[in-house]
Amino acid sequence: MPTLIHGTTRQRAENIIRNGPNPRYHEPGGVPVNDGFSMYVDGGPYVFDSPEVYARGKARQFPNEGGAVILAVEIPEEIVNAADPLLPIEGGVVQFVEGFGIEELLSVWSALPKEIRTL
Amino acid sequence: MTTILADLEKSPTPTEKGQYVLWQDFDPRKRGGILGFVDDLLERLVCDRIRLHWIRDFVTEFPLAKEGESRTIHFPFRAYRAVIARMAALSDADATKDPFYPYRGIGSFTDSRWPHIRFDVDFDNRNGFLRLDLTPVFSSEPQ
Repeated sequence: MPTLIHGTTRQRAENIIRNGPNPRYHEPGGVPVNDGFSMYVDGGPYVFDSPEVYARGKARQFPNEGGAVILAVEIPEEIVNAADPLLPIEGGVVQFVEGFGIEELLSVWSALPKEIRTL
Repeated sequence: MTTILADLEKSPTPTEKGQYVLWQDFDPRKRGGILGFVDDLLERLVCDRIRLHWIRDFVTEFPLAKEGESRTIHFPFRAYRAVIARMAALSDADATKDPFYPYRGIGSFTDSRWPHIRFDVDFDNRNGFLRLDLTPVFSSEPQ
């Protein structure tokens, strides 16, 4: 199973581990969205900024959320393949959105191996 | 004058100068996903001399020349997020210039296909402030 990672704050990572990714999550002070859930292939290569950059960016904006971490999850390949085709895995980013993999991901989420890496 | 198109819009009339495929015609599986989309988008700006103003799921194309009409295109919001992320990576915007980077930034970049053109980008990916401005700047000298 490929390992995918998500850069975020510790508080959010712990919440995601408990409840699964929320494609409609909106940040404190933000507005309701339906953005899906973005993950990177562990080790890259990355065509966007790295997950560490995004994690540190979130930690700067929300300094009371426990600092920057990387959430790593092993995800079955068939679920990865169901993700948004706008972002092919060769680019290092996988986007789970409604209709493209998020439902499948949530259906097995509790059983997937996960870890939090402190930056 | 702005032409508002109510739904997804096909690529403009195919140009002899550019081979880009955009908007409704773009197939991520055939064109390399968002990387191919951004490549095609830059080609569109260069070949047809336009700039973009993009908010959420509405993109407005403005001709660089004073003549000509702008037009607004409805396009999926998830593409906006991905394009912004690619702009953040391509440009020289960084966290030393803006504490909200990579969610917000101002910078520029060049594409090796057109060394005489600089692309100026100003983006904000924070909810409530969503905006992307992308402008090609033509020069007689390599950028």
